[in-house]
Amino acid sequence: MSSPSVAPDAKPARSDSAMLEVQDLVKDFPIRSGLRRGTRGRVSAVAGVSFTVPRGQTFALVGESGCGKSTTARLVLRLVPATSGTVHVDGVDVLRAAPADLRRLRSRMQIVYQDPYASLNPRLSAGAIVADPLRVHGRFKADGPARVRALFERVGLDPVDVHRYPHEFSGGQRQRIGIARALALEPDLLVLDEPVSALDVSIQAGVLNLLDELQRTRNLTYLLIAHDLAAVRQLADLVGVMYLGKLVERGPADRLYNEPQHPYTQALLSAVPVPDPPVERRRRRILLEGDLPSPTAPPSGCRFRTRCWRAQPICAEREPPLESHTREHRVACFFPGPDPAR
Amino acid sequence: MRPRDGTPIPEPEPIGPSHLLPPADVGFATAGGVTSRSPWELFRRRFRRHRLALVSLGVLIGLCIVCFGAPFFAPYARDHQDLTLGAVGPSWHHWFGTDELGRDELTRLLYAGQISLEIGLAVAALSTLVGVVIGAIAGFVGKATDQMLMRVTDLFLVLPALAVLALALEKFGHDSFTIIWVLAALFWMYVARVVRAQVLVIREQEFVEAARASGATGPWIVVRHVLPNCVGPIVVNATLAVAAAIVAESSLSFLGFGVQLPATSWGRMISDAEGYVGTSHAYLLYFPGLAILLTVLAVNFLGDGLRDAFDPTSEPA
Repeated sequence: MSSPSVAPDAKPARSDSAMLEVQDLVKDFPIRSGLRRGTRGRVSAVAGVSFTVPRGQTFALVGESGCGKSTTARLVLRLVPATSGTVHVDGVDVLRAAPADLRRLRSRMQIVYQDPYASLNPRLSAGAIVADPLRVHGRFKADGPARVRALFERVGLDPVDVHRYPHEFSGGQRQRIGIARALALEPDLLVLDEPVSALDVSIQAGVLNLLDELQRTRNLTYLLIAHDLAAVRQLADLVGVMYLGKLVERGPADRLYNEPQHPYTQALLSAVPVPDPPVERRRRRILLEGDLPSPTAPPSGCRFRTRCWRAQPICAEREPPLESHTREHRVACFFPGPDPAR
Repeated sequence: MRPRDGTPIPEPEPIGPSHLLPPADVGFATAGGVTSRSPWELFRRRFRRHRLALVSLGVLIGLCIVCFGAPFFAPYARDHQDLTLGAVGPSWHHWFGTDELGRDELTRLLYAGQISLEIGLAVAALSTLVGVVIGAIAGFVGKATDQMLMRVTDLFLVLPALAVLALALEKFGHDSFTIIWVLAALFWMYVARVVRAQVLVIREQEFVEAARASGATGPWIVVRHVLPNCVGPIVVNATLAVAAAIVAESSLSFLGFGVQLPATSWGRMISDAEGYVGTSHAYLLYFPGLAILLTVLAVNFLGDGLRDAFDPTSEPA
């Protein structure tokens, strides 16, 4: 799976154009109940998310279960219709594209799923799964089988296995099939929806390394969804932290990891174990109290205030905007900064 | 300004391609010397493993050959009749005996089989086709389309089957062609409902969303991703339909709405012999009854075998 001609750090020259631009993305799911299917309320899954990912870079969207990160991924690909907001991929408006344009656009943005079992059709052979996007776009020609074999090799699978069925592969191998399928159409943007969370830790490294290498050699842009800040550190150029449908902090990965400003980010980072026993023993953990509030009735003002140790009356009255802390590093908090008390 | 550390994470174990060596007996060898099997080859292997299904297939083919080849196989001519004989039990001259009109029972059974098998297989094929199309559209498109199609399905379900049959047969004639269409019209709803339910489950699966993400359109997703995952219930329902159609035709014949004399079917033969229950001529009931039983059992076993053969996760041992 290595391509020796490419030096580890030789990432192709980046143009500074934005590959993915998301503006004020909102998704409400109506809650219907009763015989007449009347709307009883709204789940605000994604409540105004904005970010920009330059070509060839990785934007990691991090947050706990139910914060809307996977919904954001599906909104970006228009697998779920957005309530409002805009998504531009390489300057093209995804959410308002006509069906024919959308089809063309889809070949440029692909997704890798979390669950390598549910995301592969059990009735198709691995080769047919990888070839499916090619067939859909009429690109499975005489060289089709050869292209599928090449894709298998590219992701570290044996091309002999094209006739095998998904259940005959291990979890890590299945995830590689999913990656090969996503690469088949030679996309520019890959949405990675927790690509390694379902895998054994020993297998995760291999898949992450593969993704890293693919990005370098193909100048791919990644939108990486994860619930664990540590797992994405290797890949992330930019990080956005989501809480209850909103971005609470966003910035370059090194800044965010080293100088987290939002209390929620600090809490998430404090949960990451350090692989050094003396340091690990001295590590202070921030334990958040309470549960994630219901997204049907989010707290007034700052959505994190119910679990925040810095919360003041103002946090309940007004919603903190996502403001510049330093250049490029933005935080949505009235009391940002390092937390010496903890 | 690369925040990410460029060094790859050390990988604790080789994650290269695995060679879960397949048994090297069948399949074509590839360049690497590792054997690989085509999907068709796997299908045949999985099917052949089902002894009972294989036997059943043989029985069905055999039944079709002797019934449709009745002019060659039947011991007597179709209209041969020995009125002096009357109804006598099985003998060397008449293996299955003769009926009250002195007709050879075996000969009648073979000719009757033509109609019963034709109706059973044709009704199953037709109703499955209609049911799969309607169920798949209802389940996949959903919303108003689903509502409309399912109400139509309900409408057909509440039709009093026998009354409709009687009416239709009176109007269009009692030939097997009409019976096939009318029975299919009364049978497709069961398949449609099963397929719809299955499609509702499958269409929410991630691999369907993956297909949509790659730009696939509705028909492609249904044909390539959804329906292949519904094969099990479809095949089971189709085999049940064969049995049900043969039995339904029997009921019709019993009531006098079935095929008209001189043509006959297995069901008609049973209804003709109903008066002999408990007498020494009961053999006139047994043989057509056994023919129906044999056919229905064979079709059911065949259905089991087909369902497993279509399922790649059931590996040949």
